[in-house]
Amino acid sequence: MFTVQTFLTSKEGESREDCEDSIHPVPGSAVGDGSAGAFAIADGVTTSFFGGLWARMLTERFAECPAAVFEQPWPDWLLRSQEQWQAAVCERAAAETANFYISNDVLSRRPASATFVGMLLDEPGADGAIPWRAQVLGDSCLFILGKDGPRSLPLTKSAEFSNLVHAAESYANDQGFAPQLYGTAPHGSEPPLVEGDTVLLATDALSKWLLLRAETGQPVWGTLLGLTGQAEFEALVEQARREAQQPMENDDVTLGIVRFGTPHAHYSEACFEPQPGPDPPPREPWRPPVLTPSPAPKSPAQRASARLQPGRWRVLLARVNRSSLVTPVLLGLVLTLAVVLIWQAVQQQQQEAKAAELTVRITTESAAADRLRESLEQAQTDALEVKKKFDRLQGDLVSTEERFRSVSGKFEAREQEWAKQRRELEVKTGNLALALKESERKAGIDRQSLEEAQSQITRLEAAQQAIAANLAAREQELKALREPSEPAPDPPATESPASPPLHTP
Amino acid sequence: MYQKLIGQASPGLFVILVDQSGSMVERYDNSTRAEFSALAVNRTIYEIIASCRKGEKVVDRCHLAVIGYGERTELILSGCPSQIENPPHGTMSLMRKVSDGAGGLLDVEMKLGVWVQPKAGNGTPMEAALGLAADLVEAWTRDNPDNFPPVVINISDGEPQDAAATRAAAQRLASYGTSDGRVLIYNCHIGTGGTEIRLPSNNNGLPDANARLLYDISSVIPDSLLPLAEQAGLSPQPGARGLMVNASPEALTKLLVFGSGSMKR
Repeated sequence: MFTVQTFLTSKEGESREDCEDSIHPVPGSAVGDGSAGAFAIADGVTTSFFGGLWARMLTERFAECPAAVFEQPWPDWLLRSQEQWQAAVCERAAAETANFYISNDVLSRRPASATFVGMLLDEPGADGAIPWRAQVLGDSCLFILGKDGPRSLPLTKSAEFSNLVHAAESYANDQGFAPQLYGTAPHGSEPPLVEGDTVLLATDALSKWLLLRAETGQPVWGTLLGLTGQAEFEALVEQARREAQQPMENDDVTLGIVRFGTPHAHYSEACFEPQPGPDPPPREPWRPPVLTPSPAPKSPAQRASARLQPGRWRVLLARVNRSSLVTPVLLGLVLTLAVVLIWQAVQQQQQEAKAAELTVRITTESAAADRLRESLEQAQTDALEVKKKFDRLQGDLVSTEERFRSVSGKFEAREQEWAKQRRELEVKTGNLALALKESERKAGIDRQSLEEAQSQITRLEAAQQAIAANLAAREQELKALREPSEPAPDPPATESPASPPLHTP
Repeated sequence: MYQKLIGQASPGLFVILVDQSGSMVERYDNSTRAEFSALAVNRTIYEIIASCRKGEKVVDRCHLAVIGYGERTELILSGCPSQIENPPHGTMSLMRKVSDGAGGLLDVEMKLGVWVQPKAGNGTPMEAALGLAADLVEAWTRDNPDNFPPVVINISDGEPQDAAATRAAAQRLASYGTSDGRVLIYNCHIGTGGTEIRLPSNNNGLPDANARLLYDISSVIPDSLLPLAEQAGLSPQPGARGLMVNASPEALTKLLVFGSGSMKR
């Protein structure tokens, strides 16, 4: 019904591992037929803190349960990924190799940011058209290449891309940005996808370039639709970055293509014709001027020993020997001066040695203080971590209590309902019992009446038989009276022909 | 123009000039101008390096240089983030209030690298500093002709000792650029003695010839960067120049945040 291709490449000069975009399905994964009907991209903001990790967590979260991002409020949907990201960066800050940049960023709750597009296809209608919905946040875009022309969401012009991007942050934030919902009714007013349509999901650099090309009458849809593999995609991005006019910005680039049958012909015809600028001259990367380090300041002890170097004294004495004023008096003065200088130097050396000793002590104490400070920082980080866990647990406890209260409320309501129903049943049962008794009583009366009627019938039958017998006797008497003149007739039947069958009720 | 993204394949250049003349010993925000400027510059360097971090490693997305001028005019710091991420003078502790995530604020002790130490002495050889920056920028733009243009931020508290030479050096500096635009020069005159003027778009209200000189040598903020200035808490009008006169500590910090903000696009 539809096929999916996904591609991803990093900034020029950076390795694939450095790419801070993420896409679902992952390029090369075994879901090429797109049977899941769910696609997502996220673009980790380059200068944010562990932005690539955050982008990956968002697309993975979407892939786990694509419908959730449409059913849950956005902050609730983000929460689990936020907790996961926070735990991951805390772990990195606690690692022995962590430097002060990471510790600072964790302590100051510096967030990661990422743009996001998550698209879900729904069941096709009777006419085969596919309803869809999408959550879109930031400048990553969704393109629908429909029969009547391309449409991009949420940005529609290249000039709308700016330095300030709305993005999902890795710490819960009341002022955070929420995505915009698009789709077919009831989620939005977009038409459903039909045979020939293509959907593109693209991060900002590619989205902006696609719009620029379309705005200048040089669309490149056909080139995208003709991509057969990662190598072709990377070559296209490289050529686009080398364009003399309107080159693609050097950023991580992600593309998802979802085809519904053969694309409409007018897209396939719009192909990219590279017009590269001049090749940049091969050059060595610029190296900042190297600073000549100032000579390291000498320690007090070194300075003192430098002053007392024998060589310096020999030079001084040689100069003095060469002088024409070599007299015993002058020599005495020089010697006195030398003694004074030596005494001063020795004094100074002692003081400087003391100073050096003090410096060593200060250094030792500073190192101890640094160790203590590090321990304190570690303890603060741990305390912060424990507090976060405590807050999380407290949050869980509150939500559990709320759930418990809600369940208890429902249980009580159900119990009251049951009690009411039981009472009603009891009343009904009582009424029925009464009615049964009444019926039984009536049946008793009826049975008695029946028995009476039966006995009366029996009596009447007996009376009837008696009458019949009596009648027969009378007829015989009558016959006997008539017999002398006429032959006697056959005796009459004993049963009354008029007697009806009896039915008991 | 001024659209090119800064990245490893097309790094940017940030040059900060710090006045280290004798008058920098004057009081400024509970310390001295020299101490406050050094702290603000160290914070800026920290932020630039932090924005070059990709997870646990640092990526060389820019080049950085700091030039001090006072008793001497010298390159105090120069290199790529990977070369200078370990601060030469260690770290210092700094208390900072951060959100606890539940609407409150926490005091946490953070470490700030010390790349630049406060210094104050002698006159204000701004022309020499701008000349050194021009030499640096000339070499850099020759090797990086298509990158985002260099950003030069000059922090000073006084009059240049040679106004004409300063103007000439600034003009030479401003003449360099890349295919993405000319060098951006932002000036911050720090002080507490007069009305603060932020990012003026004309020189009508400027107090003296010194301020007018700084206005003349400051770049007009390109339209594409105006949102960054807004983001840094400034409110630039179209045509505004990258200049602060009698800047408060807050204004100085904001100009540095804005100036280094091109990294964060």
